[in-house]
Amino acid sequence: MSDVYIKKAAQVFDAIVVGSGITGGIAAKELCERGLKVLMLDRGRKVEHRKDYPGEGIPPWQWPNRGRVDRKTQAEQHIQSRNYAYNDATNQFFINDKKNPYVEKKPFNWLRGDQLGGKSLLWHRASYRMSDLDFGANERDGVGVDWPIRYADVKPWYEHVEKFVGISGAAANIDVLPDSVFLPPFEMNNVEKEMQKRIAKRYNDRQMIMGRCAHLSKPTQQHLDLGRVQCQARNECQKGCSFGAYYSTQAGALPAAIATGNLSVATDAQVREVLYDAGSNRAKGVLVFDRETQETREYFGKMVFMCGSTLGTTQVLMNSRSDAFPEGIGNTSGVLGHYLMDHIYNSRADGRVPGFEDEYYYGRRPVGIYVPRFQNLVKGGMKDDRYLRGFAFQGVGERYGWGQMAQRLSGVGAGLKENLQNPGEWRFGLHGSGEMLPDYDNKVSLDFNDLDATGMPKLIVDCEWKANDLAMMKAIPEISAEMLESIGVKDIEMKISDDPPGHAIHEVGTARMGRDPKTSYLNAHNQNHEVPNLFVTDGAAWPSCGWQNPSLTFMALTARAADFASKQLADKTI
Amino acid sequence: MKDLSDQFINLSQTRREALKNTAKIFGGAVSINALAFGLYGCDNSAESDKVVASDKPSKPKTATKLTYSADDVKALDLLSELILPATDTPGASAAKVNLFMVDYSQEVGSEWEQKAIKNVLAHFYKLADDSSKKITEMDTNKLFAELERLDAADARLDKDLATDFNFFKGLVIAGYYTSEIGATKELKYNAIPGGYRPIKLSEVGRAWANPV
Repeated sequence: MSDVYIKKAAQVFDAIVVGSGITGGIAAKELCERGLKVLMLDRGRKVEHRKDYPGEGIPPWQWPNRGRVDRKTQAEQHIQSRNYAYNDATNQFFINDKKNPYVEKKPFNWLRGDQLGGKSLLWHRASYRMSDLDFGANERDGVGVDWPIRYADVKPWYEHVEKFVGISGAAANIDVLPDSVFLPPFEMNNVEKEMQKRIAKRYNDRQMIMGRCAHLSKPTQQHLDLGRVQCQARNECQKGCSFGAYYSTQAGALPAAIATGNLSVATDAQVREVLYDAGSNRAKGVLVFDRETQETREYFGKMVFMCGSTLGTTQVLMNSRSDAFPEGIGNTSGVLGHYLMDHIYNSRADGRVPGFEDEYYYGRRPVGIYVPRFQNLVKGGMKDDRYLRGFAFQGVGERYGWGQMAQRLSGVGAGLKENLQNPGEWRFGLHGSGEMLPDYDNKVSLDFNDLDATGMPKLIVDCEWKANDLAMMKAIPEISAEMLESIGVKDIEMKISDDPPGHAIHEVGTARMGRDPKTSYLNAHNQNHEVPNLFVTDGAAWPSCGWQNPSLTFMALTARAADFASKQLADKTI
Repeated sequence: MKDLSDQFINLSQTRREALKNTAKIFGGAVSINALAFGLYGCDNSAESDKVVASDKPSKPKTATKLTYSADDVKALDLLSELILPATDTPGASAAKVNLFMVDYSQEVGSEWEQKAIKNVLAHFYKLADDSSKKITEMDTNKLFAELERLDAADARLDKDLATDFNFFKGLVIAGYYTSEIGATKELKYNAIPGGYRPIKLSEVGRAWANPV
């Protein structure tokens, strides 16, 4: 085990994987399992499964501020602290904003991990397949370039990663949301079941299903063999999970890759550049700044997989300049850095569900309910000409607890205490998760005159919601409230999102796939059009963003590209 | 649907700000957020507002550490116990909610939150002064009546004081139900449920202290 983690290496690896999160972990595992010698790099520190989850299982009264992060630390993480999962038990998995600054030309929340495993330790684990509604979206309405792949190309790879990752959910046979290979679904509570019934009765163009998530509701032998066991319904996932019950690099890809004997890992390794060899027209390795030793060094590989998160990857690619590629490696097209997208989140409506006072729940379910997109479908559905494309709803039915009632419940004294012994009213809400359109002007660039502590030029983010995005953002609460009203929800409160882009942490684009090398950076196999042994398989590769949580598709596309690349390497095409 | 959104907007600005601020203690408390499951996560809507409003990244809070005298600590103990008293289970005093309030103010709270605590204390000190007594010597019935008046946001009250008190009361509640006494003796606490299923309320009897 100990020789997995390395510093210096003279050998030429078969593949260098930059990044170790959701995408990098799968890339390393898939390549290792095909017999390739792989070096996986992460800019962050080493985090070991179980050992390095200091916040796990500590009850609130044992925290100095009951789990709230002190002002000083919050000031160091003033952007990360905007995230819902940020607290005293999780904040070690969020980056230090003060030490890792970027430039916001317009407000953009860049939420980042800074450790081995990246954001796979922090994600919300919602896992949904995309369909041809999404892969064909750009072609149909002419916004953005066409995805060079369709659902049929990705389907076997969805199946492949789903078996490994473990996806809880129920088959529903919905065109726009293909079923995954499922472990058993979590159960709806009785209010959710009633809401589901009422929606089914009232609408024939939409349906409510149990959310699908990367949790082991019933582990298979493959999961158990990796030391992963059943989800305990604690819903404290972002502290780290020693049960390995939600999928993370630490719980899944890393032990699987290490078991092959083909993996090496270097942590604290900020990749500054992909090194280019003009003679062979190949990426030959990477230049790394070691944040621990403050040294720079080179690693060499027969191919490079960029999996450093959407903006992390693009930052490195733009900084990889040579005479052949003055604007960044493989970027003759000039599209690198453009068409940044995120999901339209947090536009919503919520309200009170009268009755059901005797109903409650046991356990803390780590996932809510879901209403797949029903607007502007190719066939059927609701036509809404206020915006192109559409959104899904995520929601949950639950009762107010003391936290929600603290300032709503009047009274002081014994009466107040007695009232707080009971859970409060039932609430039900539908929150939008919508598609942002690709736009050339939503972009990132580098300030080569302003380097951070690792020697990386600062990233400049220039991204904003455009007209279509804003129109959808405004429509979501209205449609949500109409739906809630029609199923008997009362005292409905609507909220138009005021989040800047980035806040959904579903950022994609900036090194997009496409059919034409003039207008895209990658081909149908996540392979650079110009430098054939350079692959980008994280969110940067996406020409449009769909409306589904993206991680499952990141993993499927990565596994697909790893298969293609290892075959190309074997037959010496690259 | 217009009437519904108006209803939401009709909350007074200060009231909304106060709710947002206090939501930060509880995590997504203003409205149930399907995504904000973590108990101690932040509702960051206030931060987001600032970003959009100022077109600039928001600045971290700059509050400094406030000191609390021994009298302050005693007064907080007295007031918190009146808000959540010992009944068949111990109350705020046994749970040392006053110490949590001081810690919270000193280490975590924003300037606004710190002021709210101090303003409520000052209000009760004035009440004591008016009767030429120390607050700890005052008739608790009189103190309780004043707490009720603040809680009811009596129209004759200073509006800001009512908002401050609403936060103060929220902090007492947060301190109590995140204490071992509040979480495990008064409510139900389950560190490792093992699974999720719908149940009847009678099966557990009381509310879960843990977040949903």
